[in-house]
Amino acid sequence: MTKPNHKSFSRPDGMYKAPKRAVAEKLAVAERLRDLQRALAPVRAANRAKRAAGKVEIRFKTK
Amino acid sequence: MSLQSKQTFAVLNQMVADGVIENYAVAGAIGAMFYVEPFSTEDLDVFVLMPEDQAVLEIPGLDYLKSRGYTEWRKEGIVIEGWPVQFMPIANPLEREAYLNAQEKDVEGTNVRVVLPEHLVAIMLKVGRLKDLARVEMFLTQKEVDIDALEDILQRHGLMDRWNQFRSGLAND
Repeated sequence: MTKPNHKSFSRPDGMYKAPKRAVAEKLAVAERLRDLQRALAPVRAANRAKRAAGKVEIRFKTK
Repeated sequence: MSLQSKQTFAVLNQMVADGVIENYAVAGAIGAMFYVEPFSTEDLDVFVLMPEDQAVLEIPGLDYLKSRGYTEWRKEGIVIEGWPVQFMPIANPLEREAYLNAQEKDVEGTNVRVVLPEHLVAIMLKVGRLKDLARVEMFLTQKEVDIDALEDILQRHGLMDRWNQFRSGLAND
């Protein structure tokens, strides 16, 4: 198999180009994700507890 | 836009201005988001330089932060304006180089000192957890690293094997 040419990852237009989105916008997304993660933490913990206690039945449909 | 993280950066800058820390460099997931698209993270990692003669490893500026009301701990980080901040003393030559070469970025008028993308990728390769490798792929696919500069870092820090291993994984995709 031919390996890809990873030099193609190099940026053609100089060393440190401007990000595609403003950093502030990306940080705002990260903050919303963080808050959502915190809000969902009890739900995830409850799911894990159910699975650990064998209260979740996993049955795959094959047909 | 009201950003909690901007306030966190302002506190870090104030710590530098007040001489509590010599300087800092944002790394980890938040550092990565200065270059690649955002993803979920719960804390903010910053490299700090510790005095060489310090016998006991302690978080720099802890008393300073406590005296300003930052007393809550979450996930090994002290919560500053909503973000648990992990102050990570520089532990090896790669991290030292990353710290020394970090660049100032502007977030809506607040300066933030951030590790360069090539150093972030080198550190992620060195740490090598699945989530780190996934982020390396983000940097590559979003064309946010200069490969020559990255390979220069990797060669100097003995990480070419990790890099070649990672690339062979990509080639198999």
